[in-house]
Amino acid sequence: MVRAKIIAGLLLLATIWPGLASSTVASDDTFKIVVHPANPVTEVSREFLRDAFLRKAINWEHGAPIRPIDLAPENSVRDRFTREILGKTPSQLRSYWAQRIFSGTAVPPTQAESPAAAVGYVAQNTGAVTYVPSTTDVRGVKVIEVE
Amino acid sequence: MNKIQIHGFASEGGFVSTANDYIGASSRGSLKLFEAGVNVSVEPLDRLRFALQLTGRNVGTVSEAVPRLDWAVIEYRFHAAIGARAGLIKIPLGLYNEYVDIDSARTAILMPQSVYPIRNRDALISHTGFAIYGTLPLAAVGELDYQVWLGTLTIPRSALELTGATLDSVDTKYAVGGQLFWRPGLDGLRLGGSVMQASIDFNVTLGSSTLSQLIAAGKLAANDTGRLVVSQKPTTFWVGSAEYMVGDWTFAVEYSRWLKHEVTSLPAIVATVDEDAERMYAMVTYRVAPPFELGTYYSLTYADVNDRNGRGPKFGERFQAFQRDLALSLRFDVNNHWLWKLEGHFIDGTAELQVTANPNPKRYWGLFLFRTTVSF
Repeated sequence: MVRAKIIAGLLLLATIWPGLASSTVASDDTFKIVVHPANPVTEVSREFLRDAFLRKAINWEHGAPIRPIDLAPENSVRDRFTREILGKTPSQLRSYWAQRIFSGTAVPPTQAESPAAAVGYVAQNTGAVTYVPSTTDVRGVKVIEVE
Repeated sequence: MNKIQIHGFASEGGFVSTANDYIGASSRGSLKLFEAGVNVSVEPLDRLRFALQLTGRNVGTVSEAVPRLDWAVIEYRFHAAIGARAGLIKIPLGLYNEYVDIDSARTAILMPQSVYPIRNRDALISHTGFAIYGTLPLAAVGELDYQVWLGTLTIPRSALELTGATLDSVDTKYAVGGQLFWRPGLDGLRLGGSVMQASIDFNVTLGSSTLSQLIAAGKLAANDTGRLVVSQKPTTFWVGSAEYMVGDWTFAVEYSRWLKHEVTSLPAIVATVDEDAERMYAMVTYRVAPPFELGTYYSLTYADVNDRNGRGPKFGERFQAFQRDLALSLRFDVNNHWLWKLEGHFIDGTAELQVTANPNPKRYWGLFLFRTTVSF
């Protein structure tokens, strides 16, 4: 009887565990990088992604122009993307773009109003790249890895 | 997604000093710290961009009722390693010269006045010409950001202090410069240097009383028109820079030398001048909490590196040879588009002051400012 309860408990835990695991990873601010399905790239370095979103890099390795799409600051994944990929705090990133906008040296990536809008844009533009919450429906685009 | 971006800012503030006049009539207190601007950037093709900014301001003694063109560029990026700009372009000098008038991009209201003196802003902020720039990958040792440029400067008449004469025109023969920053693998670190050189003629006419005195003294011929040319050829600036951003901290150090060789068409009256000014600062900023940022810097100016203590005859007071400025700043971001700042400066020396505006300078003085800025 005790053994049966233990097995039942383990089965229950096994049932719940994947859900717990996925909610831990996919909730809040984890993100994935997506590009157009025709883009041959399957993975990029963090430095390349940083330079693309800081608008220093302008081409993919295969020569197509990069079109980075940012999310609005209200999206919590933007904060994490800024820190982990761009290596800046949100306030440092604001200063970075203020410097470039008002000195005429560069303008920031276009902002999408929502992750779904960002995905929609990437699906329509071969050079586009964006980051979206891990829970976002990414049908029509390709997820790539960050080295 | 749109290929046109429009941004703008408006800023107002005030300042008061315990003695001496800086920026404007600071010793009486002033609210003349207004600036506003709007810019538009258009990207008709992936690598092609047109952009311009109009600004208006009422800052200290500078009042512009009509907005003026602050910068206007046509830019084409051939590759990450090479791009080209033409037009009215911000001058890359040191870490922050291109951004020195952008309040929302920094913690301090006044950037360190040794390397970024506000009185030189109009002369050194932009050039009309061409620039080549880019980022060169260095594999495991990071990246190099570079810029080289050639053009002419638009020098305001206030750039030359004159008594007994008037400035008719300013003619920049050339201005050329370059900047190189190495960004090693360590995130947030950049090390580099900038240099610029210019040849400038100031066309001056002596005042009638000055002219008649010089003729009476036999230093000028009786039929002399009183016109002379003051040539700075060349004026050279170089800056060595280091900046490190780690977490909520930013550290910056810069060391600069400004060298001027000035000759005149009437050397018997106005002697040839060779100046070598030494300028440096160290600055730290820290984001205490999301809305609050603190900053401090210590800025040093020596008008003549060979006479740091002002023992020579060219300084009326010895403290006119140097300026030591300890600044403390507080920035409060109400939201992503609106900020307030408070700042205090505790200053020893007057090397950055305009001599004509301060006939009786005081050695120890304080300068206090506040400012609010909105931007989008």
